[in-house]
Amino acid sequence: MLKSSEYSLVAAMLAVVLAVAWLALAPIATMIARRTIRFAGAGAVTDPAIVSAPGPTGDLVSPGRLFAWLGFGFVSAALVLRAVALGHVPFASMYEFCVAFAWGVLLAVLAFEHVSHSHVVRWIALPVALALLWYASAIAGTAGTLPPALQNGLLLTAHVAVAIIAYGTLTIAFAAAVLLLIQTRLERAWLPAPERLDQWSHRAVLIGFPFLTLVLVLGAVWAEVAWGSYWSWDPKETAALATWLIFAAYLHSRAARGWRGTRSAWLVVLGFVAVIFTFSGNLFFGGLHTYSGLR
Amino acid sequence: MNPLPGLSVGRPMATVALVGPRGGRIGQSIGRVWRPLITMRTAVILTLMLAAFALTGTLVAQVPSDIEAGSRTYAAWVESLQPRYGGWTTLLERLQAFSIFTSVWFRATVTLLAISLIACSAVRSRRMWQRARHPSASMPAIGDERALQVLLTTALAPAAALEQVGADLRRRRFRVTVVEGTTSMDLAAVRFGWAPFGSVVAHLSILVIIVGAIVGAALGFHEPRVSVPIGTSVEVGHGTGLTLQATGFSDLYYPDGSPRDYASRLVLTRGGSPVAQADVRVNEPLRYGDISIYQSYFGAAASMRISDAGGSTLFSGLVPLELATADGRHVVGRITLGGGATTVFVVAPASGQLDPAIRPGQMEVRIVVPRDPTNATIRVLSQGNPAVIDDLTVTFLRDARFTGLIVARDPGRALVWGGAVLLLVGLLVALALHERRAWATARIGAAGTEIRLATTPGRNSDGDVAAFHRMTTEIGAALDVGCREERSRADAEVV
Repeated sequence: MLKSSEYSLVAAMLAVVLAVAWLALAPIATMIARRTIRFAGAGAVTDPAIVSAPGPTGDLVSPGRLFAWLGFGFVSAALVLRAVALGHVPFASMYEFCVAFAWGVLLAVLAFEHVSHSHVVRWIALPVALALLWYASAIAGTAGTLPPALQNGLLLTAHVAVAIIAYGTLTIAFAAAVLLLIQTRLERAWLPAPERLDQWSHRAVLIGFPFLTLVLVLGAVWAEVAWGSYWSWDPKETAALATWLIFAAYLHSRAARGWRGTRSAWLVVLGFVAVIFTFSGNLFFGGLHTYSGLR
Repeated sequence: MNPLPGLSVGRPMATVALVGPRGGRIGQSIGRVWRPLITMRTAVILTLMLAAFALTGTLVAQVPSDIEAGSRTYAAWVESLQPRYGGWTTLLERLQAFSIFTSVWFRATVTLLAISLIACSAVRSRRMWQRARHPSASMPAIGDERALQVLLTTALAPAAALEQVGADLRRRRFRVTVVEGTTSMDLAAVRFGWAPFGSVVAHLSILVIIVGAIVGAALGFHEPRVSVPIGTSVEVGHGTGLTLQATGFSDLYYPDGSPRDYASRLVLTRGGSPVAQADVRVNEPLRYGDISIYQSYFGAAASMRISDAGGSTLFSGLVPLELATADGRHVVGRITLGGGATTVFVVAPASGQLDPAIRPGQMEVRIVVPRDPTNATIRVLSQGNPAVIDDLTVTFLRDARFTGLIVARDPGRALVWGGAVLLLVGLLVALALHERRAWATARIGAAGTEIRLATTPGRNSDGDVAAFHRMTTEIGAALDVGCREERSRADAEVV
C-alpha cells in the first residue's frame, strides 16, 4: 500500500508537470496554428475554433485543466493510500506535510477556477504545488513512527487539515498578487486587469485568514493538552503568529486606508514568504514541533 | 401617521460627531497623542512591528525559560552563543534580542496595540451602534459615483410604489424603515446591520486573550520538570495542599526502539485521602479543579543509601537520573548532603548507550565537595555492594524508574479559550456577512411616479453590484409594466 502511495505521488508529479508545461506550450500551439492557416492563404484567421484555441487565459476545458485534475486525484490517492497503510492520517512528517500542502494548493486552484472561470493563477500556483511534490519525492518517505505527542487523532487531523486549507487558499492570494505585480509592470493583454487580480487576492485572504486563525487556536488547544501550556513561544508557534500578524496587517490596511494595487500585493507576497518559512521551519529550528523526520 | 403600514417608522440618523479633546494646551497635547492611536495606520504599523518581533524570536536563539536573567547561568548561556553570533552577541544581548518576548520593546508594542484596540473599538462601536439602530436617511446624492443608483418610473402612486419596494426588500431580509420629516417619502433599509460588530468582537477578543494570559501568569504556576520516582510521592506545593504519588509506570516501544507509549499511574491526595487518580499519558492529562498534571518525560532512577562514618543514614531513597551530560551519553542524578556541603552525582549510561566502565547492574558515583569542585572522587559501585568513599558509605541498591511530569495551574485559561472562541466568531461574522444598505425615494415626476433606488457597494463590490442589478430588475418588473429605467454609471459598469 505504501508503494502504491509512492507511485501515486509520482503520477501526480507527472500530471502537474504536464499541466505546467501546457501553460507554456498552449500559446505557442495557438500561434503556430494561426500562422499555419494564414500561410495557407486563409487570410485573417476568423475560424472561431482557431481564434478561441487555448491561449494563456483561454479555454478552461483544455488538457491543462485535465492534467490539474489528474494531479489532484493522484495526490489524493497518495494521501489516502498512505493513511490506510499507516493506520493514521499522514500528517506526521515533512514528507507527509509536503504532499498534504500540495494537495491543498491543487484543491484551491481548482476551486478558484470553478468560481472565477479563469485559470491564470495556475501560472504561479501550479509551480508551487510542483515544487512541494518534488521536494517530497526528494526526502525520505519511509513510514515513520508516530511519537506519543502526535497520538491525538482528532487534533492531529483538525490542526493540520485546517492548516492545509489555509495555506492552499493563501497560495491563491499569493498567485494573484504576483500576477498583479507583473501586470502592473508589463500590461499584458492576456492577464486580467490589476483591479480584478487585486480583488481575487483580497478574497482569497478573506477566506484563508479565518482558517489561519483556527490553525493557531487548534494548535493552542493541542499544545495545552500535550505539553501543558497553550503557548510556549516555540519557534514554529512564533513563525505562525508572525504569518497571522502580516495578513492581519494586510486586511487592516485595505479596510481602512483603501490600499489597492501593488502596495497590498507586496504585503501578500511577504505573508506567503512567512507561510513557507513557517511550513519549512521544522528543518531549521528546534523546539517542540521537531517531528519533521529530518532532524 | 405611518403612511406605509407594516413598516417601522424611524427618525433621521443623528449626526455622530467625533469630538476629541478640545481647548487649552493640555487638551491639544492629549489630542496629539490620542488621535494617532485611533487611526488604522497606527494599528497596521504596530501589527507589523509585532510580526517583526515574532520573526526575530523565531530566528534568534531565545533564552530557556528556566534560566534567570542576570544569573551566572544566563551569562554562561550567552557566552555559549559567541561562536554563532560572533561580535553581534553583546549587541543582541543589550537589545534584549535573546529574550524578545519579555523585552521592553515587545511589551511596549503590545501595550500600545492594546490601547489602540480599545480606542478604535470604542470610537467605531459608537458609530456602528448609531448606524445599526438608525439606518441613515441620507440617501446618496444623484450623481454620486460611489453609489449604485437606478431611476424607475411607474404609473403607481408613490405610496403604493414604495410599499411594493418595501415589501420586496423585506422579502430579501432587509430591515426597512420609513424615514419621516422629509418632503418626499423615503425608505432606508439595512441587512446584516449588526455584522460590523463582528469586527469589534474579534478585536476585543484579543484583549480578552491577553488578559487571560496575564491572569494565568500572575495567579497560576507552571512546574515544567517534576521528576517523581515510581513508588514515591512529592508535594505539589503552591498552597494546594496536594501530594502527588506515582504508583506505577508502563512503556511501550516501536521495533526501532523509539517510544510508542508511556503512562504513569498517578494518585493525588489531600490530607492523606485520595482525591483523584488516573493513568496519565501524553495527550491525556490528569485534571483536578484547576490543577493539571501532564506526562512529559521519563527515565531511569537509582535506589541509593548513604551513611556517614558513624553509621547515621544521610540519604535513603530513589534518585531520578534526570540530568544528562553534554554529549548525551550519560544520565545523571544528584544528591545534596549537609545543606550543600557535599554533592553526590549518580551516573549511568543513557538509554541505548554503552559504557564499558559501567556495566549493567553498576552505577558510577562521583562525590564533589564545594572547596574542590574539580577534583571529584569517582567510584563504580555494583548493586548491593556498599563502598566507602570519602568517609561516606554509599550503596547502590537497585535500578528504578521515574516519571517526569508537568504540574500547572492556570486560572486564566478559561479567559483565553473564551477569547479564542470570540475571535473566531467575530471573524466569521465580520468577513462572511456583508452589511448591505439600500434607500428608496418616491416623487411625482412628469411621466409618473419616479422611484430612485440606491445602494453603496461594500467589500464584495462585484457581488454587490450584481445583487443590486438583480434586485432592481425584479422590483422594476413588479412595480408596473412600462418602467423607464436609468442606471448610474457605477451600476452600468457591472462586469
